Amino acid sequence: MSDQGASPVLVLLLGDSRLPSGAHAHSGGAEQAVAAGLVEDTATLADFLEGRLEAGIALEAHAAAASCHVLVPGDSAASALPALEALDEAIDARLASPAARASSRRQGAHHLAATRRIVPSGAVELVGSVRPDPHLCVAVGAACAGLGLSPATAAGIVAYQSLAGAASAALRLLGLDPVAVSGLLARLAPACEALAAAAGAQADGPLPARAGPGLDRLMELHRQRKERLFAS
Amino acid sequence: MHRDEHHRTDDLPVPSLRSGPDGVSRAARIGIGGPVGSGKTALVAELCRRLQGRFSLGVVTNDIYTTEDADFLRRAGVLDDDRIAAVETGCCPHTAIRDDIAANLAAVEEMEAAHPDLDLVLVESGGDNLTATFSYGLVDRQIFVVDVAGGDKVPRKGGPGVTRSDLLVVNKVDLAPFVGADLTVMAHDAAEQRGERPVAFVSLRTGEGVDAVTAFAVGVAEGMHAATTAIR
Ligand SMILES: Nc1nc2c(ncn2[C@@H]2O[C@H](COP(=O)(O)OP(=O)(O)OP(=O)(O)O)[C@@H](O)[C@H]2O)c(=O)[nH]1
Ligand SMILES: [Mg+2]
Repeated sequence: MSDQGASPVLVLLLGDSRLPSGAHAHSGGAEQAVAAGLVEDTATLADFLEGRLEAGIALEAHAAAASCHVLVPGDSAASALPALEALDEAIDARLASPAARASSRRQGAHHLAATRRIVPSGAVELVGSVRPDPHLCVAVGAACAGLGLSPATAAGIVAYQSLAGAASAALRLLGLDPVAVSGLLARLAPACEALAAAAGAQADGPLPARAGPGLDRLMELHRQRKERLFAS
Repeated sequence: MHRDEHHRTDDLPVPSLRSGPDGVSRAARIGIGGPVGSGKTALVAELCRRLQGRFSLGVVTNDIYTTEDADFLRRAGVLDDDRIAAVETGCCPHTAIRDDIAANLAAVEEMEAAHPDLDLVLVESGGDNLTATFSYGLVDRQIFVVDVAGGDKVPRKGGPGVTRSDLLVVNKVDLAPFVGADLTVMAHDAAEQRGERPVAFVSLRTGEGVDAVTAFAVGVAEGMHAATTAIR
């Protein structure tokens, strides 16, 4: 499946951090990693992001591809609904941290509310009919499906957004050099693309089940903090 | 000193009817913005005290550190706990009220869902600079609060908060003699920047001028009511 016939500009729109879907207030664990002294410069940010790619982001990318695959236009709601429900449970089962689950759902709810108005489609509505707070990766997969984009593209958007969101949070918290941070994202692009391609190729397979206990712990500690700048 | 000339809050246009996502009527929304420490929370608390018997109220705060303002309001006992919500802004308070209002919209809508009788929601922005204003996708009207102690040059400096807000509140007039601020100059500059838009000179410490701001808030809340009752 490819993006043939779909709009490349809309790929940029969905991947743009300016999309008003609430992502700017989430650090994906970066705020807690900074507080814990794990991330203090661009080099340690690179380590953090590579770790995120291995576990959490891999899950998000595969789940986005699966959501997009299930919602390919033309498929009937009757077949998509049970698959969406199963996907939702499979993601929950793989997110050990309740804070990570909550953050994913919170962002999914914002994304769904925004894309319902920005790029309305049957796929987006179908996801909304299952529950108002889908996981973010599912919401992005649905928006992509509605635009005729491929599962691999959905996976790529989710993976890039996660990396860029955490990177931009670290930049704001530590005053990093924005050019160095963008350079880091550019260096991670091949890994991001490989993940997207793999997720696209296995869009109808089971989700990966890799543990990321370090990040889970950061997400939990962050949630318990009284003072924080980011929502996650 | 002709401060009263600038209390033109009675000739505000009636807010246009806005409806929620499902087409149902909703509470009126006032954004309260302005630089750090200018008196936004003090104003929110005072408006709650004055409007409480008359309207069903809610408050959404956007702190730098999540819950400072919300905690203050809770301690002040002006509203029940579940009528005060705090939104995290990820180091960018102006993004959360202008460019990406997803989290704020969700907070307002959740409060409306929990309190179907809600008449008016006050959204306090995190303390920011003179360029920070609310999106009208989030609020119906906005008040910009500046502080006399910030210097009488502030209205002259302009910026969208000073020039375009629906009501400019020049707060802490009680401090004018101590900081050498000339209120006549401020009134003149504000009128120059704002044309017909109203300005209120206020001291939340002494209560001076607060009536005008209350009248403004009542106007917004009632304008909204007039419009929604008409279509029922
Ligand atoms: N003298 C004087 N002090 C005031 C007045 N209004 C507020 N203050 C004081 O100014 C300080 C800041 O007021 P807040 O209401 O917290 O200001 P804010 O704009 O909400 O501040 P941030 O949310 O931190 O941006 C507090 O100590 C208030 O008591 C006033 O009219 N006169
Ligand atoms: Mg405040």
